[in-house]
Amino acid sequence: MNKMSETKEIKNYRIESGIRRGKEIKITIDGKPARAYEGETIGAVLAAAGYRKIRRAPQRKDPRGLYCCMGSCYGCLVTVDGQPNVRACVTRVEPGQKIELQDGFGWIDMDMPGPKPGRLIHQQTELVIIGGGPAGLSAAVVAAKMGAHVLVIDENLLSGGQIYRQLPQPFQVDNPAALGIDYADGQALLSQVEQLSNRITICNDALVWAVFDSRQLAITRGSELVLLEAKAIIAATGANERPVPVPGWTLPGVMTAGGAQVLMKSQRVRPGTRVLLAGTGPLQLVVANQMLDAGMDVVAVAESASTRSAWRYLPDLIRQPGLIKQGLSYMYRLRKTGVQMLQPWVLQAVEGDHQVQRAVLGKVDSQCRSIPGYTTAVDVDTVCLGYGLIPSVWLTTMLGCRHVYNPMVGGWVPYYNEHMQTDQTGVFVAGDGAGIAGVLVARRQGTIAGLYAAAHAGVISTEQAARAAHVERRALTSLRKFRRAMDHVYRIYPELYANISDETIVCRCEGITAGEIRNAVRAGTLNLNDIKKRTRTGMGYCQGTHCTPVVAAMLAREFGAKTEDIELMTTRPPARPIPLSLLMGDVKGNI
Amino acid sequence: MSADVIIIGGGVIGTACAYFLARRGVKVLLLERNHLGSGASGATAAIVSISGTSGTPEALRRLNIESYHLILDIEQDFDQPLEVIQGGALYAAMNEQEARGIRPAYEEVCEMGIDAQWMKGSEARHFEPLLGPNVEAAFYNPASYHVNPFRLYEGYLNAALRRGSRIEYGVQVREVKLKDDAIDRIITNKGDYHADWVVLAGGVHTPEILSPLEIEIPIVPARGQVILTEACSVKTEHIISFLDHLYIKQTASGNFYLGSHTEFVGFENRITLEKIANFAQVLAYGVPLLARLRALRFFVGFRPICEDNLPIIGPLPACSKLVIASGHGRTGVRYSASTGKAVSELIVDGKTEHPIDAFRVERFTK
Ligand SMILES: Cc1cc2nc3c(=O)[nH]c(=O)nc-3n(C[C@H](O)[C@H](O)[C@H](O)COP(=O)(O)OP(=O)(O)OC[C@H]3O[C@@H](n4cnc5c(N)ncnc54)[C@H](O)[C@@H]3O)c2cc1C
Ligand SMILES: Cc1cc2nc3c(=O)[nH]c(=O)nc-3n(C[C@H](O)[C@H](O)[C@H](O)COP(=O)(O)OP(=O)(O)OC[C@H]3O[C@@H](n4cnc5c(N)ncnc54)[C@H](O)[C@@H]3O)c2cc1C
Ligand code: FES
Ligand code: FES
Repeated sequence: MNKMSETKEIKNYRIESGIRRGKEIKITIDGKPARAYEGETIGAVLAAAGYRKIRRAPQRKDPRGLYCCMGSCYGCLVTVDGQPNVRACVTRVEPGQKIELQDGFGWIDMDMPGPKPGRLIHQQTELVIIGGGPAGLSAAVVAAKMGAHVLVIDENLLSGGQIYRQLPQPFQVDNPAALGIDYADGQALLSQVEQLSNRITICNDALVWAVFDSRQLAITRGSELVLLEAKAIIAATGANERPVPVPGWTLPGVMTAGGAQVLMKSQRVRPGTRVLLAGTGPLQLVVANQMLDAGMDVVAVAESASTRSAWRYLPDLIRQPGLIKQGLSYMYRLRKTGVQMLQPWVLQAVEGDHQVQRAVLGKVDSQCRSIPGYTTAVDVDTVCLGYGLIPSVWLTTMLGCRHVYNPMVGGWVPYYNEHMQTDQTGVFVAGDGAGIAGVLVARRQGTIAGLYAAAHAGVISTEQAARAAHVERRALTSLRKFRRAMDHVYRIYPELYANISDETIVCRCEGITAGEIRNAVRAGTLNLNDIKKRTRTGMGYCQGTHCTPVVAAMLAREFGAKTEDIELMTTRPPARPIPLSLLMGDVKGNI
Repeated sequence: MSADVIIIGGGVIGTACAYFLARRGVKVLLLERNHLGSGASGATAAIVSISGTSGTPEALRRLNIESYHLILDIEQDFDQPLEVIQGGALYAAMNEQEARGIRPAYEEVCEMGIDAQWMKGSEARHFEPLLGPNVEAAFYNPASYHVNPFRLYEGYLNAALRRGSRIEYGVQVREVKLKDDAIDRIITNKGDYHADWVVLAGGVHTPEILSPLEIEIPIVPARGQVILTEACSVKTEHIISFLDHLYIKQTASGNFYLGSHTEFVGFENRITLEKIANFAQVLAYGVPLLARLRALRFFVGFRPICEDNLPIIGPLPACSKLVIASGHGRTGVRYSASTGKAVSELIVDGKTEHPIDAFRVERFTK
């Protein structure tokens, strides 16, 4: 215990280059004063102070820490001023806050004032866009230029989506170059949005959590419950990271690659000191380089795909020489710095007493099958998992859109036509939520969706939309070929899921192990809803986002189910847990 | 594909019938079109009480008491615990008028031999600290518990499978063909099946299966919307009920289950803001803690309910080998054990321990 607090004091996990933070404010963690700055999240403050373990999970009492850092896994729940189960990673620090680490569910203090009852607001708009990432913002810009009134809803505190993550307002940027090219691109897009502010309304910290009466979006914004109707809807909801469990993956110090990025990019905090990145695809190289920039010790990067087949796709790959060159330069830098580049290798287990201390890796063949005898271990305090993305289709499912299974773009995706319109008239899609394809595709698809949605709302004619969309479409064709080649090179093989022992926790929220799930399957079911009822897998806070894909992968690999035959688990509201107090206002009178 | 008895429907009623038949040595084949508990049984609160606010019709009283005890007894025969939470039920009234409203239910519980307790608001709050200051009066019915419904039908099923029964999923029965007083064949999407007896436990879909025989039974879907909250460290073992059948119970995992109005809207399965807001408000008025919790899930279930509020248990007049067990409405879990037992007696002994005349199909088909 004492030793822990010693290391806490000597370490400074904050990255000081490029920015100046907001005012220092006073907060306490478990009664002890902690350093915090305006604009920081509680998660960042905890990480900066060297806390790895944030809570003990209620079911098995095992330690947990920051994992996704973007509010989706609910692994980082803390008690703030007497209110339990607050997500540390997406909650801003406030002066005087008392933060307590939780054992299990935390305690509700009925003597503290309760939450305000919800206020119902009816709203109408021409075009609503859900998701303020590159796809959503591109759509907003073009639609507004055409004269449409646009509302952009995003649950994040700041616009930009995943790749264009911005810094909180109280932070000042001294040297934008230190923040990388994505930051600059994001700034450029956001300034276009800014210029159109008479027609674009940005609504952050707002979650779309239900769809009523087929098209009415229910949105929470603070204590407001907005029921929104629009002439056209664009779902640009992005993606979640693909969970790939191994024994020990719930230990504090194991994070998603995207989560580590959030800490570095939008909070300027190092997720750890000595890191292993295990996963697949070029995103890992991006993150590894960002970590080097941040002064971290990147011990190894393990890539699960053997990219030997790349030459076969060479003609399509060289369609984007800029991207290829960038990738190669990242690799060159990593090698030069002495980072172990393991390929094709996969993470097999994470070990440690209460937090990550070691990671075990194993060599695999071109189809991700383990090659016995080739294992290695690295001593690290942080493991980042980056096994690609899965489209987030909750909203399109709730809107009744037809979905198709396409493993090359991440799994189940909404069907859409060349106008980016789904089978539901007036519902458009763009970006990762329509199939994983990267930021360049997301922006072009966003533009096309924006144009046709504007046409659908009656702002421009379909001919006008078609004319303006023409260049975008040509560019997309080339990008698509490049992307398809990349997807082949970095495809996900079923054997990636070969390291899930019976004791491995699969459902992080409910503490359900692979063994329990296998028992349910052996009892005669291959149905996700049935497995959920029998085991509680998927019944937790994250609504199954971080475990259902694993169960589907296990059913396919171990029990011979065809992935496309495994039905999506029944989608139900809310998208994320919502406070019941939201329903406590004068809802009835207003309907 | 054949068996002594084919049961149609893998809900709590179908699995209970399988269990009691298997215990009598009968080889059962259960056909479920989807997955286990994919109907009402997958959405239920699974509260089992002797009596309750709705009142127990005379005809059901013996089955009520029998079933209440049976479920607790057969848990020993199951491979997993039922997660029984046996804390009794509190029926709360928020004003004088409501207090008068729950009085008859209190008297009925006493009449059925239960040592119920009437309490003033302050006594009730002392008894159950979750109750808020608005509670005017309450009565406590100790003869009430709830279980994990998934464990219950899984338990019935697994215990039947252990005794040699079988289940097939993804088999949808389209029609049962009769030949005089016998079962000719059972037509499904996976081909024909044969059995000496058929037990029809298709929940709200039971009427569909009978319609090719031109038999109409008045079972309709009665929708209930449910809110499930996050798990919480504050614990109660009491079921807390309010007027209009609205109640909360806390599951073994710590989540609160909030239910539920009865709506006759066909099979419309979208939740409606008006209803969930309405009952969340009613419940939080009585139990203020709820306003501080988050909803993890909203869902709906369709109770198979008969127009006269009694279940249908018994053979078809046209064919004594086709037995219906359905239409239990709001209380199918409560009566599952007795129903299963009665059906097994009917098939094995030709007569039942407790009279089931009041539940015969003939009451509708004459
Ligand atoms: C964690 C992560 C890290 C990444 N890092 C990189 C990188 O470094 N380099 C790179 O080239 N690519 C990266 N990518 C890929 C890149 O982000 C995408 O290609 C691109 O951002 C897709 O843009 P998008 O607009 O489709 O989705 P996103 O940028 O993901 O935006 C979707 C937005 O929708 C919002 N949203 C979703 N559902 C709701 C709802 N119900 N209510 C309200 N808001 C909602 C989300 O909050 C999010 O802001 C990353 C992706 C992820 C998931
Ligand atoms: C919200 C709610 C709360 C409730 N609370 C309680 C409570 O607290 N206590 C209580 O006792 N009861 C309660 N009930 C009622 C109870 O859940 C039901 O009465 C009971 O589950 C009915 O069981 P069943 O087996 O008849 O029907 P179901 O559970 O609906 O089962 C019927 C099964 O038959 C299958 N099936 C249908 N047609 C076919 C076909 N053609 N071929 C093959 N299979 C078919 C279906 O897929 C389904 O699985 C509640 C119900 C709801 C909805
Ligand atoms: S780490 Fe905060 S929700 Fe995932
Ligand atoms: S991991 Fe969140 S519900 Fe399973």
